[in-house]
Amino acid sequence: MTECCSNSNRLKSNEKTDFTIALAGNANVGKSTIFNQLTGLNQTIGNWPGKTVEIAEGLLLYLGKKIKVVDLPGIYSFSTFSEEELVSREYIAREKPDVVINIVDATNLERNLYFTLQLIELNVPLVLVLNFSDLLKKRKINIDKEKLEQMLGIPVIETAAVSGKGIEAIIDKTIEIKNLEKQKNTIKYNDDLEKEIGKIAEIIGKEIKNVEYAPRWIAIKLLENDSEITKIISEKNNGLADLAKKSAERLEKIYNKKINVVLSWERYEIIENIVKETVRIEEAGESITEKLDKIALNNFLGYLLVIGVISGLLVWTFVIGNFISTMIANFLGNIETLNPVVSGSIDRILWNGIFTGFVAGVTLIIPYVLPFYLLLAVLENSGYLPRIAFMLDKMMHKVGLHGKAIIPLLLGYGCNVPACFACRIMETKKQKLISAFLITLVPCMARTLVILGSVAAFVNIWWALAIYLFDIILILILGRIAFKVLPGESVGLIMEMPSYHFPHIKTVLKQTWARTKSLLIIVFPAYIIGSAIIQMLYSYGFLDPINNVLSSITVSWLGLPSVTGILLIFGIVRKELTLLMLAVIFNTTNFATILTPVQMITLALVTMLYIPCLATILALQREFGWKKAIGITIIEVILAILISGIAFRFLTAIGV
Amino acid sequence: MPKEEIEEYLETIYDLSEELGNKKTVKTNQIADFLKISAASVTEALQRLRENGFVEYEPYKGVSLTKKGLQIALKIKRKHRLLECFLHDVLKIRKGMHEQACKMEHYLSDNAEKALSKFLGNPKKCPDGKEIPLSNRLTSKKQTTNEKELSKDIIRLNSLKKGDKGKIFAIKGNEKAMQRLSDLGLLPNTKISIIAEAPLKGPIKILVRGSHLAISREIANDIYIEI
Ligand SMILES: Nc1nc2c(ncn2[C@@H]2O[C@H](COP(=O)(O)OP(=O)(O)OP(=O)(O)O)[C@@H](O)[C@H]2O)c(=O)[nH]1
Ligand SMILES: [Mg+2]
Repeated sequence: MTECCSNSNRLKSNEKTDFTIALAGNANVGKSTIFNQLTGLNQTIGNWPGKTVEIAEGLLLYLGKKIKVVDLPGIYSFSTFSEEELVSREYIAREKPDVVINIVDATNLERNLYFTLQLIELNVPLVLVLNFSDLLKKRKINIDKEKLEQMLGIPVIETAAVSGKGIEAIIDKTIEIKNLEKQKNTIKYNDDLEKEIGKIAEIIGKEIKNVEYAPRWIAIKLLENDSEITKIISEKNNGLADLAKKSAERLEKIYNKKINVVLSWERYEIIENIVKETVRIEEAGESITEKLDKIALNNFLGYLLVIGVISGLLVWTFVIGNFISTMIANFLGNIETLNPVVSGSIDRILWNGIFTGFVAGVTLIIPYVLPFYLLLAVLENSGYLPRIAFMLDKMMHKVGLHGKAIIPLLLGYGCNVPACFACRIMETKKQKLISAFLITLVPCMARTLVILGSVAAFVNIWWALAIYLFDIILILILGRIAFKVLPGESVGLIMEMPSYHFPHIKTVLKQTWARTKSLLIIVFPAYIIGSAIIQMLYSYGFLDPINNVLSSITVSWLGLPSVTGILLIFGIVRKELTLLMLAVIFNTTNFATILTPVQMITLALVTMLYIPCLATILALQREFGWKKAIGITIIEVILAILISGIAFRFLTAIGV
Repeated sequence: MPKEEIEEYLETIYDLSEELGNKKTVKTNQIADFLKISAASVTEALQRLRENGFVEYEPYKGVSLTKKGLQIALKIKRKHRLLECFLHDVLKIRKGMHEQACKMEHYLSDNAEKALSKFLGNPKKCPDGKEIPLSNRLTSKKQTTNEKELSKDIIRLNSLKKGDKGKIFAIKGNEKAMQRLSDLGLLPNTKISIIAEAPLKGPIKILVRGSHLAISREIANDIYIEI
């Protein structure tokens, strides 16, 4: 289901604001949490690196000022080796936000300050935010804030984003430094480096006009042989790149290392010094994370836990969902018994369609979706997802991916659309494409409804789980084929493993609500309109011609009732419509009266595989272009028909 | 593939990459030109070398030595240049010195190599001024290698076990991965320890500069550790 956050604070594209602040920093440091606090919006929050993949903008009204707040993807450095890093860099360097808020994980300053140093190189107005300050005491870490301010030459604020502590102080400080003259860059590298940087920067300052970046930063990027910057500068002055290359060679000779390593090394050397002066850690014992990881990463228990958690998610959804669903159905059944309306005035028919669509939505969708999203939000915020990635890395290598791909795949069980976007956390084009392709085969919430609402409810839960298991095997096989067929490179896993957090209850509830709400706003109209249309078609006798056209596939090959033809067409828009419309047409959610067990399993299989839904096709198009989106669609249509037809015959033969 | 041929190829690749200013990859046709044989037979030989883990080779892209290959190349280079010294300084042979050394290098045992080096007074350069590689040096690039460093044990991160600690010596391999690792603070001299290992040669979890990272085996394979 499409993630959506409709809120008055979403910024209109042409709205005038007083100034702009950008939230930047490493992945998983709480940028989006702070963004949500500032703007009241609902950016996805979770405890794994790489959730935000696109720039998000929001509006903050503060003391009579209109402030544009920008949430950026997490990045580790300005080197442009990954897509999201380029997005963030382009934004900071080109759009020139008035102030950059650099958010860092206070419990891990050493790694985080590396990016801070690069922001200082860029010479942008900067505020440093030490987030996770609530964990400092627990981990017996003491940070000398004043000393840090003085050594870095930028203001430092402590926050605990989840509870909102320190958020206001960020804005107060921002307004303060915005009115200030330029901040002084106080970080100097060693003399060898400064000599070369200074030389290049001086020429840039003199000769290169109208570039968006600071001369010192350009000089450093030229030294690093950054492809983007080298290209831009070469267009303006072709001697400079050569000059920088010579400088780089000199430095490489002095330090005996590649120039990138020389620079990283120097930065980390400075940071080590800063950390030594400002951070005191009392030797803490084994942390909770380490203790939990003994189980989560254990050779045997670890896998047991992975299987338990994933199937637990499904079983929990079914048990809770089924319980609520039955309750609602009974409750509604008491109010009004529904009678199918096949004749009468058009508004009677329409009204009946709308009403049954609504009832089917309420009884079938909400009960299952809520518990699923609740548990998913808990999982996402706990920090367990990266552990699953770790344990399944080897398996994912077999399909040309690596462990990190597990995260978008798991998100795919919620909704394929955001999961496709989440594929950007994969490093290469090939890996992005394979993961997105496989995601479209993951039964999202909508398909889960079909599987649970029919197979689990009226055949048994084991057959439902068997369908999921079959799907996983299919994904692995197709992934393997795609890996062999598609050109391009694959790289291995490098992923940060965050500490476990006890999921923040408010965050979890808000996230669950935001996702469910998006469903109410976008999806319910679809149900209502869809069922009104189908009622119309039904009562005016248009259904049969459509169904007849498709019956050679639906009836002869798949062994389904001919009415499924129209259902599958509706299903392209949203997968759960197949089941929902079935309920509307026959006016019951007791599908056992309509379909045989074999038919239910076959229908669930077809629905699961036959095509990515419309929104997913559009998401694929956005990420990979029309050709690939349509290619995937066609492959899946053929595949679904083939597999389900075989399954129908097999199931009939074994006499389910 | 006979040992002699393997060694000759590895040596050639090493020479060419040195000539190209330590540019890592060497092209097939450069090797063919150098050895004066057809490109097709070079391609075939390279494929064989790759299978045995001596080189990394991608058609059209070029070839580079793996650590295993580099070790052999350096060893043979060392023998070659020591032999040149011997021929030149002791036997006073000038003409055909190089060709002679080229043949003899393959039959000189490691013990004989050690003895020869000692006999010649551990020369650092060969007659035409080129450096004689030291026996267990990691890369030809590092010029400041001193005796103490040489005596240290340098192994791949992959061979460490859970609970082991060490210091990073060098990182090589895929540029993208290398950049990411150095951004994350994995640099020469950085302390590193192994926290967990996934079963079946899955990834490892390491602790570096206070943060926990999961990395695949193939990446860990390119990280060299001093213990
Ligand atoms: N205890 C604690 N948890 C926090 C704090 N700030 C954020 N979190 C949690 O940290 C996790 C990451 O927060 P996000 O806001 O999603 O991080 P992000 O920087 O936007 O991450 P990316 O978009 O992946 O780069 C979430 O689980 C938050 O609930 C804090 O101050 N204290
Ligand atoms: Mg975020």
